[in-house]
Amino acid sequence: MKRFLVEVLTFWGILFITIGGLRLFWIFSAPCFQEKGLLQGHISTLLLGPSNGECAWNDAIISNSKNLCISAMTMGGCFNRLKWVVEYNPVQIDTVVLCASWVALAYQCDDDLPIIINGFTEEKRNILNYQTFFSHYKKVPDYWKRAFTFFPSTQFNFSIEGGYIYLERDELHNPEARTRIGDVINHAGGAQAFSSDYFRKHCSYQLENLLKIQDYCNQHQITLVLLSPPVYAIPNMVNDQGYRVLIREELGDSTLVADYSRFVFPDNSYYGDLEHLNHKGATYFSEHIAREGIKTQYAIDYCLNKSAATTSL
Amino acid sequence: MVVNSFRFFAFFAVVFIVYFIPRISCSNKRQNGWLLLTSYFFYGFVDWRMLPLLLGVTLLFFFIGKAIHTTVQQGCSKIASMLTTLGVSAGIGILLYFKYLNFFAESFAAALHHWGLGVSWTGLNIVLPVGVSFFTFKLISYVIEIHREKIVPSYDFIEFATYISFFPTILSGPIDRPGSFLPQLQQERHFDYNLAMDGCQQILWGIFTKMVIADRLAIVTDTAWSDFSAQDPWRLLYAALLSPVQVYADFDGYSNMAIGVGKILGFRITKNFDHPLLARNVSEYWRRWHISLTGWITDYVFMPLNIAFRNLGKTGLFLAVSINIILIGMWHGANWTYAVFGVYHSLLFLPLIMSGSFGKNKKLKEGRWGLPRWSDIAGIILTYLLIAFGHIIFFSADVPAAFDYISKTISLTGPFVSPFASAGKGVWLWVLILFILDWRTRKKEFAIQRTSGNYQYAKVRLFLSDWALAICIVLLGTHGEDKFIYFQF
Repeated sequence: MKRFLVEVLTFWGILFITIGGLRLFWIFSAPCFQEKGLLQGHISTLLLGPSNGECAWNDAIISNSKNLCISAMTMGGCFNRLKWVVEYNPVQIDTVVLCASWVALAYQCDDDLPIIINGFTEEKRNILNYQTFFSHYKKVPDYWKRAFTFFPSTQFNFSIEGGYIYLERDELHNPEARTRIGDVINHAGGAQAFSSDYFRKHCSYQLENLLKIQDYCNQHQITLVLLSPPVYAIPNMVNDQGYRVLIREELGDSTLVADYSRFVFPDNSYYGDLEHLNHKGATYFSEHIAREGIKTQYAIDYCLNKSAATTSL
Repeated sequence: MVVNSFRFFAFFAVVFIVYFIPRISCSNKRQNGWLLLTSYFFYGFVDWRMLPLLLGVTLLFFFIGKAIHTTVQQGCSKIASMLTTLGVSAGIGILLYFKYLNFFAESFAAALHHWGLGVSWTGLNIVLPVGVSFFTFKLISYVIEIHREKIVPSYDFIEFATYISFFPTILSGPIDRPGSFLPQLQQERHFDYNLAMDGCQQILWGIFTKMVIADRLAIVTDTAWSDFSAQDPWRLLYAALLSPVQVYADFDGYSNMAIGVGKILGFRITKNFDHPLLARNVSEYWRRWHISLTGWITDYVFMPLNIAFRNLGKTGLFLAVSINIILIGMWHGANWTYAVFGVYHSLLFLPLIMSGSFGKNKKLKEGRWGLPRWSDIAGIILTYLLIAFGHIIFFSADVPAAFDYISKTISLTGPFVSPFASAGKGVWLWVLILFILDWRTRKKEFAIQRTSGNYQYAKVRLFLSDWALAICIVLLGTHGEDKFIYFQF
């Protein structure tokens, strides 16, 4: 018995130590984004933010732009990247498009979107969490490699951007996911609201770095635009007035906002899942931006007129 | 509480430690009492509402078993037969009520409605008890075996209730027979290092096949079965081709974990699979697949029918086989797809019966380069394809859906989609690996089992394979709350 227990516990103990060691090794040996080499060519617009932006903006279509978004990137990560691009790269950036929709901000806030939404029941949180997080693990077989970027409020910035764009996944056509999405929409029904107070209290890291980015852009005469990329369902079921107030109060009336969260696509086949476009959607959206330019408005107008930034085709 | 969860392992750690505490392990009655307590806790954790049912039917069969034995001893064979019939009817009645009542009533009402009779049926809200198909089969075999005088009944209720509710097997089997399991409960179980290590390895192998192979393949197959109308024919074809391996890896994974847990506690549980991927015809497939169920139905249904129909020659044999296989199909649930699945499989037996090769076991021999012989390879591939085709019927929502799936798959319209692009290279690689491992380790109970011989060499190899499996599970396993396919049955 003793021998058995010793052997089993030793096996599992060594296994956990090995796996832990491997994880640490991968974390510290993962190339930093700076090691990818300097940006080349004529780049004047920089896109920063998490996967919502990564999946929406194809920089091969939108000329003179570079998409440096990466899944789960915090505002801290965006700030580091911005500094690196501006200070070490032979490019002249005049516009930073920061993917800072409330979805993008809230997701990297302790990796917990629903906690900042008042009125969500546990069931609905689970549906949202499952849909938006765990489906990635199931549908992308090697996703465990990317799991290392999921440290909340850290500044690990791995250079794996571009892996997420051109998403082939078609979650909206997956019947199981479609049922869940239907459940969310049916039950949530716009009764929930983004809580700016809760966000200030629990996502101060995101807010601090958002302000740092704004200051940095002001210092370097860079135009900052807050982008809300197209998303399928979440804006339809959450009252985002709290987010608008937050932006206006924290960043000021003159902050430029480009809200494409309600951008209309011909059908649902353009979405990868609830809040990510797929390859088809990214192409469609980017062609629209390339053709029409990015439409912005000041935060004061954005706050007053909810539908002003809505672009329909 | 799925058996590959941390929650289960925490539960099992407590069971194990208390079970082998000297004051408990010195008496088989104390060990049985502890096992019964924990088994009921386990079952109640899954669905506490069904605990009274489990307890009730256990009590009923306990007394019926004793009564049958007493009447047999007294020479009252008619009363013994009546009691046995009562017991078997009670078992079948439980199954019929909980599993099939709505189904048969709805089908009957629909048939009458079709013939112009205005009959309708409002389905009853019946909760299906978890594991009912497994524990009722144990109960039925208990009374039949007593009547056949193959076993003596248990006079210790705790011992009998432990046999029925034994936690590793109550949810999805294997269906242990009383003749093999009750004697084990009647003796003290002392810790057996070799058996426990064997059990650990079997659990590890089970977790691997479930989490690394089955759940990975399920990503492809689940989408196809649940909404085939939205899928292109190539994807449907690949899903059908992957399904036999997925179901095997899933169910064999569970069985290995259950058997492994049993071994650690000192029990030898019935084997459930014997490398079914290597079957060269459908008859051999059913001898290798879900052995505890097919063996049960063979003993209690096929053999009596075969004797009853023996005067009809090959027709009688075919009839007996057909009823046998259709019952196996219907055992899985209340849906006509399972009946059609049974009819399909029974038709596959027809050529074997007509050619006289039914039931003849030719040994699987090694050919050149360590591979099976070409004729065997052809048989294995053909059988696999036939089984895959049957799975389309098995997993479809209803019979029309199955035919739609088949017609869509056969049509293969639209541009060719590569299997690697559709399902991913890794998925096909795991299928190949499982085939190779099944072949290479066909004489073992499971792939990484210890063998005698060059012990040092085997030890090193096993040490490495254990590590490789464990690392694969951690890094490549799908770590969700995925349930086992056979839980629903």
